[in-house]
Amino acid sequence: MTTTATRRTAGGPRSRPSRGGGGPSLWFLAPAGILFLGFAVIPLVGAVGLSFTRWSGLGSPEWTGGDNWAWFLTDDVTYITLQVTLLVMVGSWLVQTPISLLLGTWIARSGGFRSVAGLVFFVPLLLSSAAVALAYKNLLDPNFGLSTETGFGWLAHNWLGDRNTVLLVVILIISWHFIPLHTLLYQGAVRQVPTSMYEAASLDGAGRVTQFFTITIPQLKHTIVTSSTLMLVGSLTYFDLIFVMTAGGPGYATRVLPLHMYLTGFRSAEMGKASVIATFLAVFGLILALLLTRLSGFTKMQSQQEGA
Amino acid sequence: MAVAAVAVGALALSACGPSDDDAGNTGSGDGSAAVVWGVEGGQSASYEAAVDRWNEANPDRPIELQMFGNDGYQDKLRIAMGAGEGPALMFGWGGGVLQSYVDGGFVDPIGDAEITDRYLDSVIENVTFDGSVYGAAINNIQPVVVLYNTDVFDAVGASPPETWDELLDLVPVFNEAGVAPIALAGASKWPQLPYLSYLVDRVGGSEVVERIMTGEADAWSDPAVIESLEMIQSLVEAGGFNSDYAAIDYASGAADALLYSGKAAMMVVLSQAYSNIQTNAEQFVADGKLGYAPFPIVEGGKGDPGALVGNPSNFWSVTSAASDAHKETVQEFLATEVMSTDYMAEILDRSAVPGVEAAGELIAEREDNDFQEFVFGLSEDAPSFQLSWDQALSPAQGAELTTQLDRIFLLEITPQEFADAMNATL
Repeated sequence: MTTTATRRTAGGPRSRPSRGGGGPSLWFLAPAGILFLGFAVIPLVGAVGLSFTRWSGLGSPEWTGGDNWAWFLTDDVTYITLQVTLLVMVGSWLVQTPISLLLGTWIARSGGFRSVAGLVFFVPLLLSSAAVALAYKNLLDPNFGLSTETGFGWLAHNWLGDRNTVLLVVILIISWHFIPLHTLLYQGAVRQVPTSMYEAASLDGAGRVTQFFTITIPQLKHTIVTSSTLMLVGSLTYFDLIFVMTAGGPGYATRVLPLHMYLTGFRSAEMGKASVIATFLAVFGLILALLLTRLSGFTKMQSQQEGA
Repeated sequence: MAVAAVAVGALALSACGPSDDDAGNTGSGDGSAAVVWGVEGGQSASYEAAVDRWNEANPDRPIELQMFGNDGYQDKLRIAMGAGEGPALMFGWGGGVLQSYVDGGFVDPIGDAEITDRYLDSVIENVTFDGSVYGAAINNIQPVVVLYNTDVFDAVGASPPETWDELLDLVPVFNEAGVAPIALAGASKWPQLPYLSYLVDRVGGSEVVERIMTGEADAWSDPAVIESLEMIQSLVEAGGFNSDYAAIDYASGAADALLYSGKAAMMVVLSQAYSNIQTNAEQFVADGKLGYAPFPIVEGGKGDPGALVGNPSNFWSVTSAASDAHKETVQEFLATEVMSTDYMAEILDRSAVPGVEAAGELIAEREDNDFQEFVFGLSEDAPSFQLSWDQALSPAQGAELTTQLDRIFLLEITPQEFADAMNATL
């Protein structure tokens, strides 16, 4: 791979690569590749190594073989946190996808009011997760939060302390934070749909709703895949918001895997066990991303605009 | 994957281990500042004042104070120390956590007897390992006590509970009056610990505690531990706490506010809360509405009713990775500025009590000294002053303890399941 790349460069800027269908030089990969190697591959190899040791973070790691992996596979907490993680994943996808799809489609049409609204919707994305978490934590405080103001009495509930509501609240806040990003993706995609398709559909007598389901959604297929991948794989990294808001509690109710990893590594000072979780998360995330692209046929990259 | 990469990056960083050279932020007599880490709290202003005084008197050997929030500080310290990037003076709680740093060779003993001899025995005991002292107490002794709102007690005609049974009897009285009997900041988890450590000591005596601290097999399934957990769960079931305790964290001040706003009758809390409430509700304290009492005794229990639980103090420890010049600077700083008469006076002004023998006389000279006499008296007479268990135990046990105790309070597990989970950490 490297030799081909070198030869291309050596051949001068005008020389065409002999193979590969005339794509850009592999050197284009270099900056990303180096970063990826330094900040993802090498640490990951380190984590896999650490996962076979016992290490408190101070002193030297001590080889323990597969003990940590056996712990991970047999510990009840693993399955609790896995379940919580999957719930957050599926829940935030279910909440975010329809809302951002509809919002994106709506904002994509021109109009002064819509662009102002688009700007307003965008605001949550500009806030840091910690700020969002702190703000909501205070707003939802049962004694001194929003529910104590007149007109908000219906909000009076122990939202973050009640096992039955805390996960839903966390999912809704995560969604509130990230819907703007996905709205932006859909807005961009909707604008790429050729207007001729809508015109043709109108001539054939299709109404707005029919157009949405037969033109807009099929045309957005790739965007839906991209956005879903971001949401689902992104769920595997939700940490800061949950950590600040509930620290995984009450009990294990909001302890997602990344948080479980952090608490194991830095609270319990069990870096080996935390590395097992880290490795699992990385592999799980990769498999998930691969599956999503495979299942959706994203890799084939066929045009969605047949008949346009 | 991003998280995995970040976490692993931190691990890779910390794998470098401690270094005895002058790498990192520690210079050697080149005029660079010796870095001191502190945690925000009631006495933060004293750290700042002491450092200011030092820097004014010693402009050629500056000290830089860096302050952090309580939650998350220990994680940060561990990463920094492991990476050899720690401060010259580290803030800590003593106990098993400090011992893990001592065992790893990250902390130097404080050789200067002038620094170490002035503290109360029950205080310095928590930083003494193998006969050497590894920390200088820098703030106040903080036994866990019962603080109560006298207005709320007067309204129902009750007096503060002296025994656990009296406490249980008061629960329905306050609930009927629409007041939470006890304010608890359960989301922070550590405010739940004193219930267990006090009750185990009161019910089973110091031998049971000793077995837990030394990690004896099955120490957690001692009948005294099981009974204490049952007592906690009956208090929860009876409605002993504010119904939303699981959502409240201590740092937000919401639990304190419940107490002084009359929404809760009592709070079982570190004596530091007295100063915090004084800051936030000055008039309330000035009017004498903030009452205080020792943690209730358990009738028929084997423990000494004078035994205390809490934070004997916070400590500054000299780190091994600091340069010799910085070590000298900070030791001299500890000897001259920390717990000087000025320093103690500032702490006393905030209604807190330094864990220094000489503080007794200083308190006696003051007006409005009732709470301080109370705290100093408790600490002086205490047969033992147990450090909060999350600090006294190893980090892994401490983390498991706070998690499992949280589940006890939430009634998610039985005392036996708690004992099994904790025994598994031994």
